[in-house]
Amino acid sequence: MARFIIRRLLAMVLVLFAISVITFLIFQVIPGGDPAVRLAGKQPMPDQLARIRAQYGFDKPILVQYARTMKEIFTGNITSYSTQINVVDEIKQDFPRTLWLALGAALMWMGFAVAFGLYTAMRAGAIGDRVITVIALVGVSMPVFWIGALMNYYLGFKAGIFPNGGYVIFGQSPTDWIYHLLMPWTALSLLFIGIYSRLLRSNLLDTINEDYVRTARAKGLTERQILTRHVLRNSLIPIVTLWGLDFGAVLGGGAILTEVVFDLQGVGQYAYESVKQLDVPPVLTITMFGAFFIVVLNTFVDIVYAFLDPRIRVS
Amino acid sequence: MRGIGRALAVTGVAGALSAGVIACGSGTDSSSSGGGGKKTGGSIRIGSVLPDKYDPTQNQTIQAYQANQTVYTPLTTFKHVQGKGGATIIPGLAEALPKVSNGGKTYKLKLRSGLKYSDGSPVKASDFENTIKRLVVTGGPFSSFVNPIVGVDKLKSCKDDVKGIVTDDKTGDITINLSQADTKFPFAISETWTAPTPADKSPCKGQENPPPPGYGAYTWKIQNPSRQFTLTKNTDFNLPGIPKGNVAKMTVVKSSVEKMTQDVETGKLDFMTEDPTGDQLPEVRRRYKDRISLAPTPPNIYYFFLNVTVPPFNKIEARKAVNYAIDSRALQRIFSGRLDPTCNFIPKNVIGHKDGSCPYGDAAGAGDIAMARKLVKQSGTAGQTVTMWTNSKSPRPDIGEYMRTLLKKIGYKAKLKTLDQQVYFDQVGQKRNKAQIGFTDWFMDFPHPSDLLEPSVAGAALESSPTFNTSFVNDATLNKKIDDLVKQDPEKVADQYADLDKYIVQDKAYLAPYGTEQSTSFFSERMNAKECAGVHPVYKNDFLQFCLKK
Amino acid sequence: MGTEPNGLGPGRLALRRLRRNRSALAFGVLFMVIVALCVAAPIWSHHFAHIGPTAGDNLSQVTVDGKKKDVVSPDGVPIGPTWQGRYFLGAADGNGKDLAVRLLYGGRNSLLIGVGAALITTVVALILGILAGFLRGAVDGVISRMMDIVWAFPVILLGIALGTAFALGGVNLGVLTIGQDSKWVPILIIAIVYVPYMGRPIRGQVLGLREREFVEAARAQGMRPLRLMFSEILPNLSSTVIVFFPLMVANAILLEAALGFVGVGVRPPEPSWGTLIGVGVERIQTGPHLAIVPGVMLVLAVLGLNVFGDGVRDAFDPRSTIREER
Repeated sequence: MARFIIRRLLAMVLVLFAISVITFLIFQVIPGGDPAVRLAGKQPMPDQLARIRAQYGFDKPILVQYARTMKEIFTGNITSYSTQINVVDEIKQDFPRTLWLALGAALMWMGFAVAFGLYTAMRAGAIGDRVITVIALVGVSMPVFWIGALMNYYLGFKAGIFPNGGYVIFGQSPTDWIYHLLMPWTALSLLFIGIYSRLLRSNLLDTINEDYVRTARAKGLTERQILTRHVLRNSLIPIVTLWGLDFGAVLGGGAILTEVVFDLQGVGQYAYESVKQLDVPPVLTITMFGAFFIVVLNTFVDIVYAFLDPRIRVS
Repeated sequence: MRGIGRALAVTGVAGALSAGVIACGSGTDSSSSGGGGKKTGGSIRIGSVLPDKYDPTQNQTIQAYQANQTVYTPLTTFKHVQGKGGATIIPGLAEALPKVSNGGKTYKLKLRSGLKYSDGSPVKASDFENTIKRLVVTGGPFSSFVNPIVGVDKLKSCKDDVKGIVTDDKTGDITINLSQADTKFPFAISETWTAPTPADKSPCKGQENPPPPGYGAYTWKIQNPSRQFTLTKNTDFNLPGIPKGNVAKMTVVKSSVEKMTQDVETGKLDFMTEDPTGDQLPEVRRRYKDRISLAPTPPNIYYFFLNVTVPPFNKIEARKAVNYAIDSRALQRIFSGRLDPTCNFIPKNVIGHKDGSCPYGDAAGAGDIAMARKLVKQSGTAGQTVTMWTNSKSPRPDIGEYMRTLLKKIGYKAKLKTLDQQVYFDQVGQKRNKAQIGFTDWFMDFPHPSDLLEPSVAGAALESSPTFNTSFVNDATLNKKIDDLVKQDPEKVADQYADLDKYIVQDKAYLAPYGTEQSTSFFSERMNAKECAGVHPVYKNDFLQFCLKK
Repeated sequence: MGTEPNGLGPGRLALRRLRRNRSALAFGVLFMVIVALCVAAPIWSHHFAHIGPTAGDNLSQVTVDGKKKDVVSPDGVPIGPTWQGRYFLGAADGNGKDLAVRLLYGGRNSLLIGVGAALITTVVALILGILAGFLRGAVDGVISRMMDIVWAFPVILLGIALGTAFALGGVNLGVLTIGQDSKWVPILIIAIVYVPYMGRPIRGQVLGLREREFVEAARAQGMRPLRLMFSEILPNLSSTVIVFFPLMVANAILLEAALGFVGVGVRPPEPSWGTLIGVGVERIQTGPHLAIVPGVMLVLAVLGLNVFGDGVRDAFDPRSTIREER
């Protein structure tokens, strides 16, 4: 088991390393990726470009540049080319926004998914099941930037029920904080409610047929008791696992467009704006940061499964 | 030696009716009717995409310049009035305008005595030299403007001495020697990127937060470089001829353009540094007539470059054909009516602009497709494949698409290439990409015609790569004329600049200009938009003139 | 389970179950109707609108109920729906293109990219999944880590970065040249991104399959690994592929829309649902239909696929419909 864990951890580091190399390379080969040209303004003279290259070290071999950039990331000294702002500081101040967005949305989609999943499983095959299924799948089928923009305009600006985007820090006003996050939470969770409720439904139906449920039924427990005490508890395990993975994915960059549409100015929006400016340091740092969440949660899930199912360790 | 063209950062564009003249003009006259009176004091909130950099030597966007011109006063500066008069140079930290001698090569200035930066340290003559060193050594975007100073080309670090600048901290004397006469230089020392800042707080690199202290009507505090900063009135500020500012405190916050438009509408913000995008502008203009104005500031020109080094536009007939074919009414709709059509290259309100008859037909009227087709046939290039280049910033994809259909109409096989706006100018400015025709715009750094001509059509501009001379013009006659004229007082040779304009657009058709874009000034209900819009040819909107209603 | 008659293959059984799921079938039909409409785009374009998907003149006028109207107003607002042949749904943008025509042609592009990307994803995922699951060891390690890398990459950022790179010159890989405006660009980006989503479950399934008796038997008879993989293992993955495929197409269409929205999908002047939504959202105040109509079209197509795909999954995974059978 220890060997397995060590192997998985090593693989994790390897994956992160590969991601950093690939991201770095992409921006090296992109035409127009030369940051010196953009730093120099519209019409750079050769000597001006040379000065900038020397100052930022763009004239060094690519390996040296990569090593230096990675060192800067890990020592927290990395600064953006286009704004000169420290990227790590920027991520630190943006991260709470992304975290709250992801956390709130994750709770919201889980809550609705459990409700929908229970309902559709109990009424499987009936008309209610079909209708709820379609409704849940409508959410899955909507691009978040589209429904977000419509919500923001109609509910936010036109009707004035919600704020038209933006973010208020919790410490400033907790009610305003919730108020500003309600629409983004909804838009983001719409995407997941369908997937989760469908999954929960099929897991519930699987579990209902297990022996211990039959036993419980034989003991004379009510359907409701059986469902909540026995069936739901067991059906939720794989879903909670998936929930962890998706939560990591949302933190790691899955909410970029949601942040942009609602102008939340979290890490995702920072990444979006940076990549549009081909500003390598923030893009590289955020990609690593996001990949870290995803890879760590993946590895964690792998290890947990290995505990539960020894066969996996062999493969 | 050549201009860089201040970038209007990020965002998109949309618009309304063209006015052709600088909007509402009353300036300091507060007696005009219906203005609501001018209030001194109060605090306002401004929506912006924020400056690209906070260090005055490092930034290049108008958003940065609008804010930092209130914080850093250069040796000389621009007059703080609305309209064309705003381009006039007046003394700033210097007692008077520079005394120019030695055939335009020596500039002598003297600092006013007793001035103190916002951190309390005295303003010294040597600080000016330090600023020039920082600007050059860090390769700041506008550093090429100070290249004419003797010795700047030898500068390797901030410890080196600049031979061409002699300062005396006791008397406040500053003497600047240029290697050749350059009438753009007085403008360069009026820009904030040459404004003196205390040497001990201005290291030889970009200094973002806190940026170096300056001497201006406001001081700034950067609470969060990517979210907000505040401008607070500097009660110690007192320079003759420069207003002290009306509003006590301005908070500038980052916001998306859509949201800031909505927030100015509802009064959550008082002003936005951007132009409303998409159809927000027509809506805003319809609903809030009194709160929004349009003006062609800063002076600018939109044109299509025509690469003279590759077919088909190596043929003059083909180039003229494009000029004939353009229908600015169609382009005006793409600009949501914000385009002021022209067939001049030198824009309105810039020395050398001369309205006159347009050989290609009415600049604001229909294009002559029949004539264009005839010329294309004559040139023998009909049927060739032409790729129109444009970038992703709204409405430029539509401008590109317009030109693609137009090229098809006049007899070419036309294609469209849309690049991201961040890489666009880097790419069309490289010879190896052989961009045949494409979108270009130029916003004047100051209203001197050479600020436009040198980068865009002079052969010397081809030395830089990427170059802004995207037509790849290298015409000996033109080069000589541009070199000669820059040594002379532009006002006196305005007619010759007008002739150059005619030579470029009409005789040689090196490019196809079609209009000037009007920028918007949109205020909240409580702002005095009538008297205090501060529409300015260099600053776009002069924050020092903003005021609330009484 | 239970009442299903014996003697029918699993595919037949699934088909029979699917046929009983009316809502799944209805939404499958909905999707096919949208496909048919988009395929028939030239008919609308030639015979009713008389305007092509990339043509348009913002100075032209259109006669509505006997009155001439500007296609685009002087301040740049496109005309709304005319409910007549030309500009049936109004003009799409400031250049006076026809929204209805672009919507149909855009659908062709979106569907082509969705299906094309899903096909490539499926093939690549099958090859990688089978190799990894069957050969295990080092091969599995390499393939799995590669999928981890793709999995952990932020899709939108990757898309924008690659889109920027491709926009300039396309790629030249010797045999394969991809032009800057080629639809292969979004197809390949999307295909690569989704490989782990399908490759991982396939690998898991193959890991199980290779221990089964029929594989052992074939191996004992001396069947070569390559043949084993493709004649014994592959057929057993068919139900997984059938279940995954419609959902992959749905996801690919959604991702294409997102890439189009951020400006790196289908290159202009070609339309796609994503680019139409991107343009429409900017004009939501004066022409809400410009944002809503392409969005609804996209949602309906994807919803059709999702509900149908959900039904297919139920059909192939009988346990989940157990309540129904009891």
